[in-house]
Amino acid sequence: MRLGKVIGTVVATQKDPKLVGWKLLMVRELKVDGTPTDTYVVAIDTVGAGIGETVLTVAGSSARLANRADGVPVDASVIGIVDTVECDGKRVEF
Amino acid sequence: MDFGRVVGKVVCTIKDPKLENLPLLIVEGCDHSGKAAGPRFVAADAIGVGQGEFVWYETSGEAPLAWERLPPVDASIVGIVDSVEAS
Repeated sequence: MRLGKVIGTVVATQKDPKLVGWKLLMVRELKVDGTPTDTYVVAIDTVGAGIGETVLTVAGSSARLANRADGVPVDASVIGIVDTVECDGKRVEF
Repeated sequence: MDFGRVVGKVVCTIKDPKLENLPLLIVEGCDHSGKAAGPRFVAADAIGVGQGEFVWYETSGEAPLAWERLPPVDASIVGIVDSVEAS
């Protein structure tokens, strides 16, 4: 899984019917020390995350194992809202 | 499967129900000698490992298979490495 920061949402009116009702989030990936990377991913929101929050994303076929996402055509899901990260014995600030 | 070292942990209160009671650890990819040789990422712990331990992990579609409930994870720690013999 990867850490990321929610930086926006994506709206699509015409889309696969199985995506109806899902919120699509624009997530910028973070390194585990909290620094932003240049990688962005669009992920469905399964936990109710908001803009500015640090989240945990899962990629690939496992994204469809998220809550209610069975059979939904996605390859990235937000599966957690991050409270704290500890790395190399130090608490990471976001 | 690949080698890695546990360098930290992630705590989430709001998360997918299938992630309950599933430790989320930060793993750094390693070569077979235990030297850091890869990116750092978050992996779910299937066996109960500690900080600093030399482990092996699996990724992608196989990662959820470490649990019967198939949690939505794309990396899971499945073993603690005791020793590696390589020529």
